[in-house]
Amino acid sequence: MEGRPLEEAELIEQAKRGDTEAYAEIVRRYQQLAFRTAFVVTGQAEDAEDAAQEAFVKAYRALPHFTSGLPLRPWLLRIVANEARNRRRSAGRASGLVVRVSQDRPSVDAAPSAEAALLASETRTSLLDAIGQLRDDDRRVIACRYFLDLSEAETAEVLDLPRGTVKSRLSRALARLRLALATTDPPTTESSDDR
Amino acid sequence: MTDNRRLHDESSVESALRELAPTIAYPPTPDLATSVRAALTDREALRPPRFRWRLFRRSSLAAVVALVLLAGAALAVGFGLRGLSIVFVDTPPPGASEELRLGEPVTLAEAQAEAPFRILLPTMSKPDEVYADSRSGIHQVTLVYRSPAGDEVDLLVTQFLARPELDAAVKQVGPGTSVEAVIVGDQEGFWIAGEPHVLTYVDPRGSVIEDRIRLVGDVLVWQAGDLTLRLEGAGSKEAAVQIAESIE
Repeated sequence: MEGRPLEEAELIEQAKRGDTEAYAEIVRRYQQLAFRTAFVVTGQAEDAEDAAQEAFVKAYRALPHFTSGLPLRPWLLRIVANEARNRRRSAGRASGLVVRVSQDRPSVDAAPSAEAALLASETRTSLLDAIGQLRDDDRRVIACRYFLDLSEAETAEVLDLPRGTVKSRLSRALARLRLALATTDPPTTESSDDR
Repeated sequence: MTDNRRLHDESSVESALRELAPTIAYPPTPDLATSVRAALTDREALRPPRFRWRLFRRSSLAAVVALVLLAGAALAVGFGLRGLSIVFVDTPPPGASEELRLGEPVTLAEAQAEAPFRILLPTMSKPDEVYADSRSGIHQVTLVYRSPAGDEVDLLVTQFLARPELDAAVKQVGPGTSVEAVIVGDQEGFWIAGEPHVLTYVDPRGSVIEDRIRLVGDVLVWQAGDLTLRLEGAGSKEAAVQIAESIE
């Protein structure tokens, strides 16, 4: 797009009038979050792509019903999550979510906080090991809240849980994580964070 | 430098998880903007029909009746058939548009392949269009019968399994709407007629899903085995029951 990037509200209004270019720009802005959210739900990249694409198509059709002025993100996430859950159900398989970290440091676009730089690689390894020991439900709620940085309300929508259950499940997941960490010996060698 | 012992209280673990977030390796994000735009262009010709019935106007009045399909027994204070209860609520939903929300256009064969139930069909003729929709968590199939000229929707038959874990569909109607118990074959049903009413869905937690609204006209709702069926557009209770009894 040329010139000043359009505000989201302007894009929404244009898309409501049938402007697929404007809608494509909306998709561009949310596609990473939508895809990753679908991935957390389905555990499969292919299913996540299909779910996210279909969700955006359905959202376009539903756009005339979207109330202008409300935040688009939770509305989109709800549609993405519904589609991802349906795919997971219809696939008839329960793909566990596998959490991996990149060998590389985060990109500039995903710049870590100053604190992030301090997280020692051996601690990351221990943390990943401990996450790997958790139940899949625990991994998903942790992924939503801490890795995707969703709010409690958004996490509830994505996982199709009451908000109170998100809170209690998260608390239990963190407790189990601490327990797993307590029983994991810190690595004595240098970083092996590519596991 | 952090170490394992640092992570034995909740806030430290939370901090460590947040620090881990930027390093999480996801599969590469596909170019959805391009694929979605292409899909929208391809499907434009298959957009769902729109109702043009004048009756379907926005209702702004307060008292409403909600039909809650399924479990909702704790909420039910009035009528009820198996898997269907009628409850009274105080607050009407926000406005609705006139567009039908039928889901994805599919062939009858595709709909049957995807549906977790045998699709029941009226004996009168094959549907002009078929739609499938799983947005609410309920797999729903809608048969569309068009007017002879093809420019308007004459009849809609929607069916879905009343799944016990869902609180299910809610139908809210404005004042002046009558709800009458009827018999369809040997099954109980309800004929809801009068003012416009709104079809919404609630999720398993009982909260209303945001993309829920469409207005419908007089409607017959009944059950056939595990299926709940809804018939709209028949014009009269008698015609609706007659059509419903021909569905098999």
